[in-house]
Amino acid sequence: MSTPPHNQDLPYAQVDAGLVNDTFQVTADPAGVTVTGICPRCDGRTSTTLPLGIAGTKGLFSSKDRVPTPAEQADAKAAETFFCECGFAHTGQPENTHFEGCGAQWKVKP
Amino acid sequence: MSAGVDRRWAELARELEFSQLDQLRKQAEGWRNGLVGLTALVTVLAVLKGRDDLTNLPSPWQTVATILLGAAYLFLVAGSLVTVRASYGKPGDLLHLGGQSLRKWTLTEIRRVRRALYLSMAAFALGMTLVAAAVGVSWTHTEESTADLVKVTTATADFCGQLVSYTPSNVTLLPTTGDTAKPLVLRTAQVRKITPATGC
Ligand SMILES: [Zn+2]
Ligand SMILES: [Zn+2]
Repeated sequence: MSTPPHNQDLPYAQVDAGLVNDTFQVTADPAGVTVTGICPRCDGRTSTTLPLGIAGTKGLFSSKDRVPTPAEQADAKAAETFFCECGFAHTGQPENTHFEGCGAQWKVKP
Repeated sequence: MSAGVDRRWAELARELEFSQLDQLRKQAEGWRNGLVGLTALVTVLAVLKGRDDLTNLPSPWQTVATILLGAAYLFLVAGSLVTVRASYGKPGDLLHLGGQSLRKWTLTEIRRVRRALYLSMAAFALGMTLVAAAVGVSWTHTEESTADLVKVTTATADFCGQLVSYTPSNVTLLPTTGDTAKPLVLRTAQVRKITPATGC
């Protein structure tokens, strides 16, 4: 499986790439779940962490110092929308963006 | 759901991630204020209970008033805890801060807060009604100066009333029934027994 190079010339655009094939790796530690893979738009390497935080009642995972189970990790990956976080300042990227990348967003095919 | 909405939720989750400590402190502060208020409430009720108001009540009413106050107390405490829960969230709960889980959580939380508000209002109204009922019971059933009531047994008859004076010659009672303004004077020589009475 060859990985195409990161297309850094691609201008920033908030594009919905829709459902993409699941080529993403999930890792987890007590602090949260991290989903890593290749952005379907700019082909940059992107990594998104869903940290365990407060917002209120009954989080996805209840106990504190427990590493989320593989099933919970898979659930998180399947439920969330991901945004390109390749870390590269694609041309036209807004200054205060929360997701530093090409602007693409996608969901992972179940 | 549109891509833009997804993005907004994800951004919100990201912002939340950076304001965790603030959020936590705000929550802690809210709970502290709530619990301080609760302590005040408990103190007030304890003082109310500690006074002799309730012990002056004749027998079934003392129990009734105590039960009413106890229930009121439970409702008020539960009500205030539920309100604090509604305003500041349940402490110590965590979720993964992704846009979608935040969105899902927010929708459930809205339902929970609405229910909590309704519940606390109901508990508060009920608690207040019970307090009013308890106060009503103690007002209508407290017997004034029960301690001074005596039953006087003479050689010929029994009398009952408030003890006014006791001298070597006369025992004076104020009747609690009939003409309560006219003292009843008994000759001490005739008196066989004086016993405290709880009622006449
Ligand atoms: Zn990208
Ligand atoms: Zn990129």
